[in-house]
Amino acid sequence: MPTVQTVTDPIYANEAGTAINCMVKFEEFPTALPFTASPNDPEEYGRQLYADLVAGVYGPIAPYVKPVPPATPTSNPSEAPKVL
Amino acid sequence: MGNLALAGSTSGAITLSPPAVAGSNTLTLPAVTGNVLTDAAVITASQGGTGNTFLTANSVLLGNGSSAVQTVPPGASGNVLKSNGTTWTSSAGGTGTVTSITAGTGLSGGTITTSGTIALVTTLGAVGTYAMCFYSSGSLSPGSTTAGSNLYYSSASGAYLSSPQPSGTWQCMGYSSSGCSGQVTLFLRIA
Repeated sequence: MPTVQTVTDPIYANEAGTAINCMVKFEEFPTALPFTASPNDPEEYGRQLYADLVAGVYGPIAPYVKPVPPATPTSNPSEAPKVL
Repeated sequence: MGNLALAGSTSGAITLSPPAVAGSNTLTLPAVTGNVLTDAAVITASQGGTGNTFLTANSVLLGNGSSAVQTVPPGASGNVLKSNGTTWTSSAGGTGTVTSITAGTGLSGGTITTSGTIALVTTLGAVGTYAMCFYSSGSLSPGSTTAGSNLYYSSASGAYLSSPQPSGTWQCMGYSSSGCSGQVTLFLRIA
């Protein structure tokens, strides 16, 4: 299990607030990593991180910002992504 | 001091009582062939001997209380002395120097110090597992990392599930290029 050193920039990852994005510096990695904390994470430390974030251990959580869809020019209509 | 000689009786005890003087007293045995201290009887353990008439060549001696010492022969080549908690035996020696195996990232079953099984983690979305995902933010180079919320479990053609999404940190193990199925590649969860 990786060791969490610092957690910064928490922001909700969706409108429902069921996931939180943040930057986590783990002892095992040289740089901070983008991390999605979720109560449904199969890893126990991920669930704990989500609980700590919600509890305010790492400061306030910024509200969700809907991403701007990237421009994806598609010449072949059959390649359009299909959401199941 | 002169010599002490025995004559007449063939049994009995001789007690040497050196004078209580400073320094050590030395009893020098004569350089003769044959029995010196007694007749042919062995010197027992309680007398300070081994209790044996001879010692097998190359065997190791084991203490045995007031009884005659025991011996352990070398056994097969490569054998070592091994304790069974009570005594010593000649047993096959171990090989290697591994003392424990820890299950690293993506593995389960450690830490093993005697015997056990190390297995691959197969839980969906767990650290150490791969997933084929649609990367929602355009291009991503091999080796780059991204948060799980940017990924969707997908097919190779680009069809993806909106839920559930992965948690944690994922490393791109292929290449994601803008343009539908081009944004589908393999990812490895690293944290």
